[in-house]
Amino acid sequence: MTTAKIFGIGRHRLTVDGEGVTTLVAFTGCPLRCKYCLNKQSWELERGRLYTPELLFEEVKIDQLYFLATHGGITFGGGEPLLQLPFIQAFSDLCGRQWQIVVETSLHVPLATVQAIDPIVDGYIIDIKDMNPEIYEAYTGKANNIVLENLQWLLQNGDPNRIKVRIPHIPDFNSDDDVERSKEQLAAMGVENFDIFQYIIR
Amino acid sequence: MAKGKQTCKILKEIRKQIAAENDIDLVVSECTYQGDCLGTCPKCEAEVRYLERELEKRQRMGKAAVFAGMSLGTLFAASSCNHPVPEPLAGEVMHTPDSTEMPNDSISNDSIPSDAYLLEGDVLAPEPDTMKAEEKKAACKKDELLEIVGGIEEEEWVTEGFVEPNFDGAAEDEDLVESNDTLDGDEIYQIVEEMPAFPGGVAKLFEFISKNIHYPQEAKEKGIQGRVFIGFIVEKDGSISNVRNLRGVDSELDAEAIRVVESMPRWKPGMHRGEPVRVSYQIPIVFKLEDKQD
Repeated sequence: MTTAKIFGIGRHRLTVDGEGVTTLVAFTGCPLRCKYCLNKQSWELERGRLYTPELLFEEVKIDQLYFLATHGGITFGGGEPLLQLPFIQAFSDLCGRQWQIVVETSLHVPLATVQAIDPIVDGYIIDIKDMNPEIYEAYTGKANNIVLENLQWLLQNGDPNRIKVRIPHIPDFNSDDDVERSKEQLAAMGVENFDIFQYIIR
Repeated sequence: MAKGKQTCKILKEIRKQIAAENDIDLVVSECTYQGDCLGTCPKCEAEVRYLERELEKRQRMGKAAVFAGMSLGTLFAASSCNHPVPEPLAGEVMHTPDSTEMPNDSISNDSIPSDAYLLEGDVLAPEPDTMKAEEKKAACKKDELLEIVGGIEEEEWVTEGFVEPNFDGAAEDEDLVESNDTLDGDEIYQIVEEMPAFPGGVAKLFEFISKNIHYPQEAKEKGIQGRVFIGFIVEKDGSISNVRNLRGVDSELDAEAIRVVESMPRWKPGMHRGEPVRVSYQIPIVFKLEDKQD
């Protein structure tokens, strides 16, 4: 039996993570330490509430009717949801393929994890930060080579349309030109869907 | 809370359409509540439960539930309000739409309240760990912790007499390990911020196993194949210890898998809160003969 700590569950999200009504499930645990992280509570693995896949399924199936009617489902975020591979696999067995499963991820996990989860994931929202390795490392504290390897694998092993890549303008870390360069490089890799946006620092 | 009211209207529209498509009588009255709205309320939830019961009745009578693939875009239009506010995913952003590229280009900036992109408040945090002790105990049976979940199949690795490495780098809840799992007086983690890594990465791990493992001749002649799950600990200095067979197939296959895992070079150790830690790891190794299916 697998378990995971979950620090947030948000119901009735409309068209945010997919085409239908979705519920966001936010795990604790993240390999990155982004300077402007708004969910720093997710860094601590011990925070949140301990769930089994069964317990989570019981809790979120309250919205099953909406999911089925609108082609919606669960978006796993965090934190880094791909750190919870066994949990998501077990959850998928419970909810079945009629629920859409989307992961909002940095892809900063081993390639084998991405390969293992891919069969049950309907959509990816990938926070790429910046394609420039120096900018990425300065902002997250980690190198981005593993991210690019994983993205390349996803693009080569499935429909690129299941992937949306988010490129943020990050104050003091990247410029408009950097964002544009990242977009061009990603488009050259085969990415088709982008979400470009601005961090607001308060 | 305008956003909640808007969500409420859209969800109500979904319920009405489900009822219409399945010939269910659903009388929907206009909500007159003026206070803060989370998008749903006991009355809304009661309507959902009513629809579920009615659909179950129909299914018992042999009628399949009809969900005609409702488009939320259509429902937004039907809800008679502006489009809903795009909400953020869990992440680090207070998200403002880019002037040229919007997550949804049909969304008007005018409809976005100033706090719309704050994640905090968007996600309803569950109570602090309130799982009952007995539930937790049931969820945390140590014996089950070592169950391996999943794995990947890569056809290109399979040739006659060849060994297909299979890999599952993810593990389970840290709490279980911290509270229950110590060996030689030091904690063993299952998930850490930076998982241990074979030198050169996963591809090199595959390569190492492929190059060094030999299909035991007797097992090959007998046509024995299957997946052996090997568990081990990556120590703080990257060395490998406590190599054991978690789920075997055949004594010879099991022994060969253990031999190769024990012969691995030092890994890059797992790191947690800036410190190297001991991490439990599992590798499924698939022994597969070319002309034999699982």
